[in-house]
Amino acid sequence: MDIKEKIANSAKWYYNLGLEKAKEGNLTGATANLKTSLFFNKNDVDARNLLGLIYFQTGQIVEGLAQWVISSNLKKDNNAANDYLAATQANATELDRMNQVIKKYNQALTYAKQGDEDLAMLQVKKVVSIMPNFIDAQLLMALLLIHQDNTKEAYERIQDVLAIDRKNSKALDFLQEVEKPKEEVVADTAEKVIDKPKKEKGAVMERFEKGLWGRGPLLYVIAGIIVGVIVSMALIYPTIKRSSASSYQSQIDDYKEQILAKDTQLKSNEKNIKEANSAKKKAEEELKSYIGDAKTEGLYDKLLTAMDAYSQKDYSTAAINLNKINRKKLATKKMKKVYDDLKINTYTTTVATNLYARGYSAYVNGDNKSAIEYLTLSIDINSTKLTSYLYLGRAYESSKDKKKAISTYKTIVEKFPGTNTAKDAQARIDAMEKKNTETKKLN
Amino acid sequence: MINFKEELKKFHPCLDVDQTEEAIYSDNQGDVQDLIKEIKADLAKEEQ
Repeated sequence: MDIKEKIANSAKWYYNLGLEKAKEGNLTGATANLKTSLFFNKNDVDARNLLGLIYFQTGQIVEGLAQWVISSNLKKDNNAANDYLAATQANATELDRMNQVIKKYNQALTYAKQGDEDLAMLQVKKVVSIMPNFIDAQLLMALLLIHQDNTKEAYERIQDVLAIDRKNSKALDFLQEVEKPKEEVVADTAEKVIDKPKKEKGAVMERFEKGLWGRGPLLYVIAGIIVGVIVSMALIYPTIKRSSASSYQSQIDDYKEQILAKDTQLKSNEKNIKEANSAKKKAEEELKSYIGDAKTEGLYDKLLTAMDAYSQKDYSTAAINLNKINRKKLATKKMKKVYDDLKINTYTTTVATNLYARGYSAYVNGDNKSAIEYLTLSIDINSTKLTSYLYLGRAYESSKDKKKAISTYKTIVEKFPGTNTAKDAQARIDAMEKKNTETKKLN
Repeated sequence: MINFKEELKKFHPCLDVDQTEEAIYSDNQGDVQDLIKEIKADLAKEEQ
């Protein structure tokens, strides 16, 4: 079997996998498989048609139409895409209605990102009521509901999404959030009644009372003495109290001063501790950047990885790891020499081509982050390859980094003037800049 | 725990019908066979 046949078989294999998953209701998995199928064979109309159907089913109308248009251009006769397009075009009113729903969703998203959650909820509710299969709208509504602690309704929205796409990752994440067991609130309505012990007259008291009033005049004398003592105490006590209060007050003032002094010292200590902690943290971070930890590689790890890859003739991996190292941070001359030697031997046009292939593959599979990393390094090594810039620009555009996308396309226009790619790049710049101006006007 | 703002960042505007042409155009990428052709061409240039 030659390589072309192998590639065609791979495309078919992924298509079949995608078809199976679509039938099982796993639209997320099906989409990934169909995209891989198209990566092997972009001309596979069956994969495009099915992908278009999935997009349409989940509310991504325009992406669905795009797939059918491309499919129709690849194979004009006996192609289901023609029927799908005809059915859509025959019902222009319905298409326009869907378009309005999409615009409402976009408006709801804008409101949500601006912090106007009530307006966002108002809009997205309308969207979901008109197009309940619009997954992104359902998920946005679920997110807003979760944020408003309305987990019951959020749960319903999530279930609506999972009924369409049972492995939708966002829906599954949100489901975990709303299915968290709530702490039981035990209403403590019962009051504990404490029986207070009743004051009961004891036998001793009774005997005393009886005895007291039975002793006559002697009692009055004793009472008189007692009253006299009380009166004199009442007269003398304030004076005694004043003088002792004064000494107490000065003691209190002393204590207050001591507390204040201690408080000031404590605050100063806290400040010193805070500064020391900050310095410690900075030192730890710097150390981590050199030696790494369990989760991240430090500088030396990256250099070792580069050397290891080079020894195994994996020059591309060596170049990728070298690219992550800031040469200025290498502590010794020897380390810098190792770095420089490795760079000379790995930054070659062959490696640039390999990195371009990796970047392209990553872009096609939707991994824009890796695509950007590989293509940027490829250009760094070999800045003469037009398609490296092209897919770098596309990867920035796909990851919604308009600024860098425009910058990359401008480089294409300047470095490769007169080419079709340069014209395409200019058209993209114009489209993005026009969109920016329109967005600013709306705001 | 879901971070509302972080989750919201993952939502992007949908293309509307006016952007169909853009969607078609942006899908116009190569496949493995195109990639192999390019690599072959690059290697041929290097050999020269």
